[in-house]
Amino acid sequence: MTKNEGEVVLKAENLKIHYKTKKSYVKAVDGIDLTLRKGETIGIVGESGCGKSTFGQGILKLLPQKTKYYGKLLVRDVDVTPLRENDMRKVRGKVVGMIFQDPMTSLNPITKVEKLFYETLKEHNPGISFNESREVTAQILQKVGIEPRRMREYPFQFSGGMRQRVMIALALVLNPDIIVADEPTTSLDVIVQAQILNLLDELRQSYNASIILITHDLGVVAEMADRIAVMYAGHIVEQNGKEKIYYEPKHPYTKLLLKSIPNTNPKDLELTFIPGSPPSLVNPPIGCRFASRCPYKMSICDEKEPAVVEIDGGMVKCWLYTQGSDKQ
Amino acid sequence: MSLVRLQDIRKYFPVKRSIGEVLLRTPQSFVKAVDGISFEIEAGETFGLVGESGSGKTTTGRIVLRLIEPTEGTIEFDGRDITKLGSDEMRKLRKDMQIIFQDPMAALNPYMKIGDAIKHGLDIHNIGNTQSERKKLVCEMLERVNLQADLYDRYPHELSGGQRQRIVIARALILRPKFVVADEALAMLDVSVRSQLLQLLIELKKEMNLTFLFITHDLATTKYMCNKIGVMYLGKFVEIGTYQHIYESPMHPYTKALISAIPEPDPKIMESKKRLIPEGEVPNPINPPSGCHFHPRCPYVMDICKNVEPPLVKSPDGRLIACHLYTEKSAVQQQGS
Repeated sequence: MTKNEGEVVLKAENLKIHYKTKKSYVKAVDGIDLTLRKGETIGIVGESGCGKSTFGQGILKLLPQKTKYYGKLLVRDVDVTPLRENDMRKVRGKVVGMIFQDPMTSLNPITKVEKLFYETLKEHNPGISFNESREVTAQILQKVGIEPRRMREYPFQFSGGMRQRVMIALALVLNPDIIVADEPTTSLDVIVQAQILNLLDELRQSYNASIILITHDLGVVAEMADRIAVMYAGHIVEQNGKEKIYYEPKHPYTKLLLKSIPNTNPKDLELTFIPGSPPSLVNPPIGCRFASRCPYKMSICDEKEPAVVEIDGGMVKCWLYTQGSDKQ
Repeated sequence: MSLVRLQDIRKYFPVKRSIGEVLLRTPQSFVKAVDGISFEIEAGETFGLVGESGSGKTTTGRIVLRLIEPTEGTIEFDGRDITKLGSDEMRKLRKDMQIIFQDPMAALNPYMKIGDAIKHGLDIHNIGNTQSERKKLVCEMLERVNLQADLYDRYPHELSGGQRQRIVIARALILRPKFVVADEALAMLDVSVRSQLLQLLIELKKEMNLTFLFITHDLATTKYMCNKIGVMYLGKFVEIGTYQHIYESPMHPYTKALISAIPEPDPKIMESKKRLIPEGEVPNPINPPSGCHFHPRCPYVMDICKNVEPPLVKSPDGRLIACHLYTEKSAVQQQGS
């Protein structure tokens, strides 16, 4: 279900996010294009260190101060890349809500849940009273399946799954257009994970929000996303509808990534994996960044970076699909 | 012959009482982490322990190695009762039983060179006559886990997560143990790295004729490693069977739920897949539900389930199952009428 209509709520144009380490800049996101429409869910998948979390946090500019942003990142027609901290605060929560991986480290453990909501609501709605805030909180907690009376408790009194529900409620309370969910179920057990994914899907429908779902788990993406963007070493190497990605992957990396998911078929005992590891993003290779691990490598792959080509309703960044080169 | 045999193991952790509770003589309560489990592992086989957090898998793994003392029950290793063995004798035995932990950064001493960390076991157990001989053994082991021998002088923080986990594996296997507990050994790794290390473990298992207790919450990896899989819920086994039993025809409602909750990447299968996600969460192990521990969340709950704990019995196809749905029909009918 590729949606080509609908209002664009987020658009990255040749977006680069380079963050500073002690000695050098890590080019974690290095020129990506992505369009998110109203009501759509895009799944961003890839191995650790491919830049998917940097992108997610970059949307809210939650990265350290010395991080450099290049290109454009339009959130509801406003380019956020030049925005300063004060202006970003108006975007955070109100326009873009964020769900983090580990709710224990992202919810202040010594603040009661009702206070967490009050602080968030007050930030964007200075006139709100504590009692009004509690009413709003009660409603939203009910929606995510938590008894409203539990708002008097502290985050540590909740189980992992319940904390993640609090986090989701907190991300939704200001009714944002976009939700960035960074590995929202990774720290959860499989049954709780299924419960949370169901909840997210229901909420997406009732709020008509757009979701950017960042995960390394292709199963989770397939359950939630309409479209999938595969990231590798700071680039989006392939982007298409979920069915296309699964049944007709184009990029060799996507193909290998799909093969390396352990399936549950008892007869299939062959283990597939991608040899080697992703390149360092301090000095990424000049050519295609996947070349050193690619089974279809050609001589040009080491020399020049492939351009993004539109193909089959999606896009791919690979020399195999670029005109003029040998077809596969 | 079974290499490891656990019989009726229980581990109750006391819950800390407040001073008020002590003064009021509130009775001591316990977390029943492991509540009466028995199983054995044949030499050369792998037993998989699966279940959610808090089901008691990790506690079980540590009890087998006697890193935690069981409250009750006996542990046999290689035909010998080791439940009451003294620490000197246990130390000798540890050469034969090793553990691979989940988090390699926490399992490796950050101030110790990688090579020295692996060599440590050789020093303790006095294997190899000279230091240079031991170093040579370490280098061979490094190469066996597909790392370069020149990593010997590096420190753990200089390596990637996958490399670190290879070091932990090398350290566990350099003593040529008979038995290895792998406690979520692959959980913190990326998909591709996880498959690489799984492959390595499978190869090493064959080469060294290892017996494994493979603890994981990721059911998909058990297929490649495990001869038998035990599903745990609140400190007890609900079902023990082969991979086929557990995956293709799970019988216990909890196993069914667990299998159906695995996210499915194939969009077509996903749409047709029936979901049996129970509501609510794993109850508190201090006061687990009466009867069958799963009954408050079970869609097939009957009256008997609330009062009588189902025994773990052999079903006709060879698996073990603890569920009243499959105990003698007559008994169920009697209770139902």
